[in-house]
Amino acid sequence: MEKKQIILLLIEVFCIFFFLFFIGSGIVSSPIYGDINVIDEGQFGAWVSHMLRGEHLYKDTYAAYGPLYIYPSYVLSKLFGPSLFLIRIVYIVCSVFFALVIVRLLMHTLRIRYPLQIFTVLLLLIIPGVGMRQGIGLLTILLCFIAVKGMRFRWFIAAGLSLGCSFLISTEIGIFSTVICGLLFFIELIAAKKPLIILRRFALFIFSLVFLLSLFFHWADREGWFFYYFSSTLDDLVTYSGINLPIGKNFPNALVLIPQSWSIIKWVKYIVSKELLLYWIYFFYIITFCFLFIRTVLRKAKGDDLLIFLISLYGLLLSMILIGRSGHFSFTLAPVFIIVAFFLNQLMPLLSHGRSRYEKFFMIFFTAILILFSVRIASIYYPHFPKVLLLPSAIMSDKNNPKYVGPIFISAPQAKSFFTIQNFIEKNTLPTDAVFFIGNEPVMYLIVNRSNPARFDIPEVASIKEKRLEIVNNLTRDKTKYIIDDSQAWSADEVSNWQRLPEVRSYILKNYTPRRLENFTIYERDAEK
Amino acid sequence: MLRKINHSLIVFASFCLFLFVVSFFIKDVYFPSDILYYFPIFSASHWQSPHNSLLADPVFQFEPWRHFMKEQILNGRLPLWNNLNGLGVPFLANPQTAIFFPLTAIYILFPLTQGLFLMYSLKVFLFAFFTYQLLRNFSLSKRSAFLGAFAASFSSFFVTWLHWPHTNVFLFLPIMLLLVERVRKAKNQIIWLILFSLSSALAFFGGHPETFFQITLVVAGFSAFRCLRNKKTLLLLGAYGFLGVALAGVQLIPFLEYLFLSSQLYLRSFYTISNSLPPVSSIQLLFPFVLGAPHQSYYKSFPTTNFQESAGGYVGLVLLFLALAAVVRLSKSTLIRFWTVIAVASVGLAYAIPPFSIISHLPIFDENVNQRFIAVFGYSVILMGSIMIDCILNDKNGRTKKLILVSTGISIACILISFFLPRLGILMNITAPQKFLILLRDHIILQLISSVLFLNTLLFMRRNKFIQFIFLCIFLFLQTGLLFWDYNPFTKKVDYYPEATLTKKLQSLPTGNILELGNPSLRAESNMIYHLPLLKGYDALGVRKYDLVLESAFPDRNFWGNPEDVSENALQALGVKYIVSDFDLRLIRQRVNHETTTLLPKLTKNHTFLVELTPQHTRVRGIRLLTANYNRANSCIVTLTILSEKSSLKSGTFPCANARDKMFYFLPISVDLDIHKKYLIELTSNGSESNSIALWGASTPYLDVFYENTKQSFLKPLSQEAGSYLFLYPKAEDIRYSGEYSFLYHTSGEVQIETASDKAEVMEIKMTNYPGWRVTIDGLPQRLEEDNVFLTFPVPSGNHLISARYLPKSFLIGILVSFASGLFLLLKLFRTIYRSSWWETKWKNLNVLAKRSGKIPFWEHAVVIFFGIWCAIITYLLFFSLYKIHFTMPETTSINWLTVHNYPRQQDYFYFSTAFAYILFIAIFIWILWLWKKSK
Repeated sequence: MEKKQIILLLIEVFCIFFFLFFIGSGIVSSPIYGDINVIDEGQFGAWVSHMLRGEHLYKDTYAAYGPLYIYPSYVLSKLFGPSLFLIRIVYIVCSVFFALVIVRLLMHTLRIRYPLQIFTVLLLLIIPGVGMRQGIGLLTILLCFIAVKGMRFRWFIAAGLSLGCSFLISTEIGIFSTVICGLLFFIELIAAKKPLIILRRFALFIFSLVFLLSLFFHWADREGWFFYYFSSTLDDLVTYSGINLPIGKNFPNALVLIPQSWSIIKWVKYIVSKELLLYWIYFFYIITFCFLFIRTVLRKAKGDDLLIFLISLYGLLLSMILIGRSGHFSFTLAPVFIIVAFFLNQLMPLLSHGRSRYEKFFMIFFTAILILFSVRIASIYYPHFPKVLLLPSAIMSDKNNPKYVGPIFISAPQAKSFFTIQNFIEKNTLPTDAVFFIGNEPVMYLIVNRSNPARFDIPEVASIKEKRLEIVNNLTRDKTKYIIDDSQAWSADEVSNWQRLPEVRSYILKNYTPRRLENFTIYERDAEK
Repeated sequence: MLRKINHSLIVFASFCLFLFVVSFFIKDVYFPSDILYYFPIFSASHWQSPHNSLLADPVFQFEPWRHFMKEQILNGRLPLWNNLNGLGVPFLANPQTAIFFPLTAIYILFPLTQGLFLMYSLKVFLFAFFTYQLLRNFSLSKRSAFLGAFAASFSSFFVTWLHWPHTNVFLFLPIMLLLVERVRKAKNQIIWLILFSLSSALAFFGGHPETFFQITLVVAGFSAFRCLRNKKTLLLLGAYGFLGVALAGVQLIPFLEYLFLSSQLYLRSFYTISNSLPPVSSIQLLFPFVLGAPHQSYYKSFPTTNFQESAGGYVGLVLLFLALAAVVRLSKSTLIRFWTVIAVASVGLAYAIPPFSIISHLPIFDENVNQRFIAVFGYSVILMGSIMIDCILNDKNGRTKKLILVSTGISIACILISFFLPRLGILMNITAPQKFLILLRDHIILQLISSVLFLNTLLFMRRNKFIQFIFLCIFLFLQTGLLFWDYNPFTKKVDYYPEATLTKKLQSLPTGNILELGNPSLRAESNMIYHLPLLKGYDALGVRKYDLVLESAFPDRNFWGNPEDVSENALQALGVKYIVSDFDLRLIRQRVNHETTTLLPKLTKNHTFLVELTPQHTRVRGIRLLTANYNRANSCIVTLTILSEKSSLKSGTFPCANARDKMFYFLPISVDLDIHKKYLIELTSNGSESNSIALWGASTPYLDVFYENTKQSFLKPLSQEAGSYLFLYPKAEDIRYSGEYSFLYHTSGEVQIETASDKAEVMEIKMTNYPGWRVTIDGLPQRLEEDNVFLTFPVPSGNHLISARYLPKSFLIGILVSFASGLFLLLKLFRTIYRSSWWETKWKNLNVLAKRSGKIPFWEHAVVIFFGIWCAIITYLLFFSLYKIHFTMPETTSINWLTVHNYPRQQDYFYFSTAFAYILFIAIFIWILWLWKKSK
């Protein structure tokens, strides 16, 4: 590597880090400013809070992610004390930075032009949702690819360890990565003249995977929550692939959304609508597979084509989650943007050296589609862009934040609501008391520093009756003094938690008396009960 | 070679397409569900004669299973458990459900009418197609091979067992034989070996392990015979055959588990099953209608067997003759020798002829229904006959001429004798009706004339004379297809599992286990169509533990296997809620004669029955008989008279129209008797020979007398209609538990119950405790009491949520075994293709193509791909606007957007996966076509 390149790389790393720290991913969430996302950030806060109180993940508190995704913030909180600022550092700065590094590495391996790499990184910075989970899957694929190409033992070991990590970060990412790695090894075994050589290396890959997982299993078993981890992971996989998923809607039907008139504006709006963008994603995957097939048949395939094929396949598997949760589409965009960059990389030379007018026209057309797609996705988050202007005041202002928020510049209403609930709980309960928040606001457990009588910090997760009754049993057993409902809490899929949890609702209405406290309704347990 | 394959593929695809198009015009259901009219509850308003009395199993077993499977799969569930019979039995573990058989997928994907037609017609076509390929592989000419395939498709076994899973498996006999041949001849054996593995797996998935065993024996024998000098190939065939069996592990392993826990294996290990045909029935190999046929106006069977079993080896008189001629003329041919041995061994096993009968006592053979080896005999005859046809067609020296002339002479003599058959019947005082003798005569004459015509046409056939070939087909058809033309009938849509008053009534009531008493009203397994849980199961295996409990609860059984009596304890123990009976259960029954072995002479003007009665109680309220109606609508009247010292005390008349075949017929009559006296029951009728019913019994008719009961009954009557009584047992409970409980949901393999109790106690869910059931209380696993026949476990006090779920280890192990063997086979396949000369040539051709196409600008490729994508999108949308698949909402307690809006999520998965795969495939396919044309 030349000195100039190293300097460029360092500048780039600094810029990304600077961007993430000050502006943040998805523009809105930086450790400096931006309201707390009471669900996504909040759940990490709740987990850290519970774990610091001696509770175990999976056993005492429900978590949909792997332990390796949650433990870093727990360890840091143990060192520096729990705060949402710390959680943002971990999940906005470190996690996104990790994912971006992997994306850059992948694009470097694919020999994509530098400006396109920067363009992709910028896009991924703007779009929220790219993090360690997507990154670890991409890293596993990259390591497997390098291992298979180089046939070096160390890469096989690294790939195995990476796969192990991906399982421990997120089970579904682990499964997707396993499918991709399995396919890659399968392809190699087909083509190998001496399959035994591959099998030996494959055995090493398996060994490193098993080694890492056994270490984890041993540790989890000693702490007494391995069984709970295993059963809740299985339960999650079954729940999220079936009808019982807590959050999820139908996949938008493009035919239903077709405009009823021939107005061009309506049609353009329809084509670039958020719902249709989902179809665009699948369209890109189809195009990629066709492109790779054509290249193979026409003998124009290059070594990197296998990697782009694996990334596309990974992206396709990742995008399967959109079938039930189309709102989560930003989580699946990293592979799509790599593909977009790959295509733009292919098209750029043709734009300048096209042989005919048709060719040029087509290349311009296709490039325009790719750029339009990228810009349209970025534009979805445009309401957040002006908030960047708040940055100077966020840095300069004197932050009188509630406890456990840290030096984040949050809006006055949010700060007020945190203060209200914090003061109320501190006044009316003991530190050993549990409080139950029926809205989807797990962050409150950290803010009030109280435990949850039930496992579910986001109550909507208790979608099936078994889990709903578990909450009722927990509330009965614990005789929880206060149950708090925030009228402004977000209801997933327009189905409120009162509607989702009828047993809990009737239990509360039977045993508790409500009273208003600003935005909150405080349900206090009736004395005789 | 490639051209040949392409040609065959085109024929194959065209015919499949043809069947697909034809299926659009099918209005009726290709299924014999009219057999349900045998049962009084379905034929109360109008009785119609079922078309074919033998096609019972498809109606009572296979179709209800398919229906259930379709429902479950479209609900997004794999049907592992059947909760509607026998308080729950394994479903997937029963191979006869044929859940993984490829043709079953057609049934699931298509609407009922098309699905059934396509499934069965494709089965016949595939059998013919692969027989043709096999015969071609034996170096037979196209015409000889076609005649062989033609005969195979109309052969008796394939037609009469078409609706059974036996033919699903038998379909793979020609395929596997063909693959053995390919393996033997091919330079690169691996691909054929992999196909052999796949065929073995699919043959098992066909759904009949016994037939699978039979064809495995034949294929093993054939492999040994063909690869005798090449032991490596033989070993490879064995190894890949074994891999194929492992590939079927997903169903095989659960099946083995079920088999070892089943009543059937237990019974077979104690009792010798009747597994051979009576030797006299071998006449049906020549003339299958010698005792009539179930789809004809007259039918009787040979003792201990039926038409299907005994005529299963019939493939046409002329083919049998030609096969015999082949044995004589072509005795030097090793192929003929082999098939002769197979044919002789099959006949020997089927008819238990010494020394083959010794084999019947060997392990596995002693529990196998060896009589079905007759199908192998039939297939051997087809192969040998086809070889002989080919020999005659190629015989330029006229050596076979004499043979045919002799046979013609014999046939003509037989025809002349046959003309006098009806008259001979009268002279010899044969009891069969004249109509049948005429039918038999016509049948024999048709067989012989068509044989003579076939042989002579064959003898004088000139090469490439198409018209003569057509005649050959016609003569062959006269011997097979014509005879069995409407054996498997089409029935009207309204007759496809019709709604009866009783089924409607039961459906309207709260769900509860139903017990049938006396007559079969809703025969076991057909209840699945109506979603009514029946206490009895009929899946040919049965969970032994449960069957023993059922047997001890209801020891008094009739020939239908239905209880004749109930006790309150038994009802309570098994959680029976409803009882369907052919008589009023509140009455007291006196058994006067319980023998049911003989069909007594018809009840006509000239024939009356007198039965002596010593009453045990005073107030008679009715009598019960066991009737036969000869499969026809009779309009006669039966008169029942109770006589005391030759004077009539009471009499009543009853229409014959209400009598059914081997069904109990309750005749209500009220009279008071003296228990110290003796009486006579007289049964007379105004019927004639052709309009009468008969009674079953021994020397006297079967007879029960019913008296009024003064005691309060523990049963509550709900309805009485169409000769069936419906009772409610009010104390019945699905769960034995004194606390409060309510079902949250109850699906085929999952139950969720909410409980509340002040004390800890044991709960018993009335569901068969079979390995694979797991119970959790509030999410924590709970140990089941192993010895108990039902799911029994302790429940602590308080409010709890109990979940019971069926997911057997055998199924999970099976998945692993199937996956491992499938992965190995796939790897082997791709490695072989990758290293084959075929691939090398293709690769080179591709290189040439790539060079030629190198000049095509890339944007043109892109335009074609875009065009392909749009074509695919449009055709996909068109297809699904024509074929609307109905997805039902899975049962769940979940409250989320999907359940609030009643949106079955599995449809998104279905449309996504099919659309993505289809669009990708079509786009690439169109591009390949374009490139291929462009490069030309």
